[in-house]
Amino acid sequence: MLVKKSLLLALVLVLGVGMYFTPNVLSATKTLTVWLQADAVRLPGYELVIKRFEEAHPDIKIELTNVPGGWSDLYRKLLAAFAAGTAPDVLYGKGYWITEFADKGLILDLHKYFIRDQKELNASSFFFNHLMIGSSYKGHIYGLPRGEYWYTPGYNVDLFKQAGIVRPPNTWEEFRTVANKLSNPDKKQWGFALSTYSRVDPVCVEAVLDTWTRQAGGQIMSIDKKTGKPTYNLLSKEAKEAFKFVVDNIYVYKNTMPPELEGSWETLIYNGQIAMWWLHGGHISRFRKGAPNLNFSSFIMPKKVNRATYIADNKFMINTKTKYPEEAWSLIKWFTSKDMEALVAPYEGHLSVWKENWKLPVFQHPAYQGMIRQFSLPETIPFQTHPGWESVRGAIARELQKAIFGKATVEEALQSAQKVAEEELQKIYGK
Amino acid sequence: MSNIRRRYLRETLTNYAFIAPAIAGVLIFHLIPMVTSLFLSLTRYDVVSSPKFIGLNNYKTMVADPLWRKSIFNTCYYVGVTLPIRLIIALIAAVLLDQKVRGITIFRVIFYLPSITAGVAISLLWKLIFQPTYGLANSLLAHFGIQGPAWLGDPKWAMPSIIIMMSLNIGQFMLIFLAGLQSVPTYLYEAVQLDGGNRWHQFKYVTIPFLTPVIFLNIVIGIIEMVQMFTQAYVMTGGGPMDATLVYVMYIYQRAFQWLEMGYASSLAWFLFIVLLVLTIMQFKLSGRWVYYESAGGRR
Repeated sequence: MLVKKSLLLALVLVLGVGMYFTPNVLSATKTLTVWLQADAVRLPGYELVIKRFEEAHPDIKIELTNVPGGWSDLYRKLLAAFAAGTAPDVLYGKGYWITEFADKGLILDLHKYFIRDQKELNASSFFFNHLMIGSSYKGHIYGLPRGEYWYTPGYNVDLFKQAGIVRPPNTWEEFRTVANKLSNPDKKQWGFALSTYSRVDPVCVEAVLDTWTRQAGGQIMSIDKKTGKPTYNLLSKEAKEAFKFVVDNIYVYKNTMPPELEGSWETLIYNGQIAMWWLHGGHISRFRKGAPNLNFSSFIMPKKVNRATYIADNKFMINTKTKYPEEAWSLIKWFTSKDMEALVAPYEGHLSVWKENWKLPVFQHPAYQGMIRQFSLPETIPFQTHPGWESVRGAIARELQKAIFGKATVEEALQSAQKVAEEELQKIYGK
Repeated sequence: MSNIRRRYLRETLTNYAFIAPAIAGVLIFHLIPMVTSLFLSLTRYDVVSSPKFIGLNNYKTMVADPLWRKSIFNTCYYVGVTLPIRLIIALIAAVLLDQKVRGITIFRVIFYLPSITAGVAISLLWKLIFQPTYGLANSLLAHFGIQGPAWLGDPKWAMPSIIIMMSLNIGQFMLIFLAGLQSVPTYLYEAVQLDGGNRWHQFKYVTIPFLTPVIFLNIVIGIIEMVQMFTQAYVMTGGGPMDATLVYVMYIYQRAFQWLEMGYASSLAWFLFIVLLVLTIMQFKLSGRWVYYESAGGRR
């Protein structure tokens, strides 16, 4: 009798535990796991979108995980999760992750879904198509873009007025003249500041070299269309000219905030000690909250040969191993739709990929106007990356910083940057 | 089987059952990972693909890697400057706290409290203190008419900033010194007094020799702990600016989790292990020349 009771109890326990861990066996609800990275300002926007999705799709439940610590932490955790087989169904990350994840076969090829549903998507938009280039790898689509951004120059309108400067600079020469006029390093006043000097990552390279080289008419990287293999040329006339322009602004003309004060960048802008700076959508929403009295706007890139800059975005991607690809596709289409981008816009700050949303009140701030004009220019270029892009760019950033911090000449820094770029590429692609 | 044997076997099994969790812990969290990392150090492994055996290539790469040399230099700089300062300040604090004064326990708690506070919290606090434009450090210096440096933003000052911060982290050393001070025989202080010596002579000829075992212990613990410094570099500077605070463990972290070179990072970790092992053995061998034990002629 005791044995029978014990067996019955054990059976009940096993069934109970089994049912706890396999809820979908009995329930029709499908659960999608989503990982993203958002601060306290943005997260409520994303949660709202998810709530609306669940209301519209009662058979789908979303388990949202906000990974703290920033994009780099999210990237590392995702890779560890992929290796462990615990990666989420849907992930939201930087556009340039597409190359790495797709190369390793970790994310789903969305080509067939895109072709099937392209009328629903923003496929007629210039920006969307621009960003779709960055969503592709070897001709296949792996992500849906949202929240476009990149740096455009921002400026303190009041400082310009006080100095009698009637309009933002139009060319590199005007830019330097304006920056010189608005600088007084002894009083900790600078005409210009980059927001990143010392980060050992791709953003530093874009900020101090890549974008400027494009404006000078060159490019530091090209990708072979057939093989997908990149070639770096950091020793071109344009790259030298561009980097020298940036470094001379710091040390010769002293019109740019020194790199040692990078940690104080935002405070100095709020205090009116920096007249022009690199600005993106996330900064706009942050500045409006952090310094409501700051009268700032943006302008298009000053011209050398052209006004080139990049356009970037974040992407929704789907795990190759998801059990619910259609549901995951529904979710990412939902998140990147016009209405949902409009819903998130007040929380996030990044410009919507939908042109129709630019009429929203949140995007009427003057700082967005320069951004919109910049992104509308034909010189605006989509990001192109390659496997190992982060490690190559990180290695290049390290060498460039030697000149940024005044420890090497421009020529020396570019020479060593070229050398390390070739070494990194050799590790990735072989000889 | 005889009764005695059966009982012996039962006792042995019971004893092993009690220590089984500890053995499992050591195996799962120490030995197995160590053996795995030794194997990984001979491979190229990026977490998502399978490890690819490459022999000793990672170790060869290490020797030619300028960042590896830089991280070793930074670590030696940090340990070489901070450890003596910490020991001296901890010893002075311990001597001051070894007084029979009312409320001395409260002071001991105050001095020890930072040691049990989260390193991340302390690092964030010091990051604010060292903020070049509005931080406390430069505000105080400005009062004396001194223009402070950019501290954590300046490659010259970034490591000294961390050294200043860590030099005041004396709680653990101070506690060990305090325990050591309790073991100094008081009659020897009286003997020095009778011989006409003052407090300095007492300190120099009695306290210090009797404290050499705890000084030795603090040096061994200190080197092992400080060579593995990570939190402060990660939170305050990320290893920058310009790799000025790229310490060894920070470099292992970058290689492992930023660049996903698990194989190379494993080889770096094994190098660290071997160096620490050799250093510790050397310290024990050399200790006989200067550490005084109050037994068998004062030597081991």
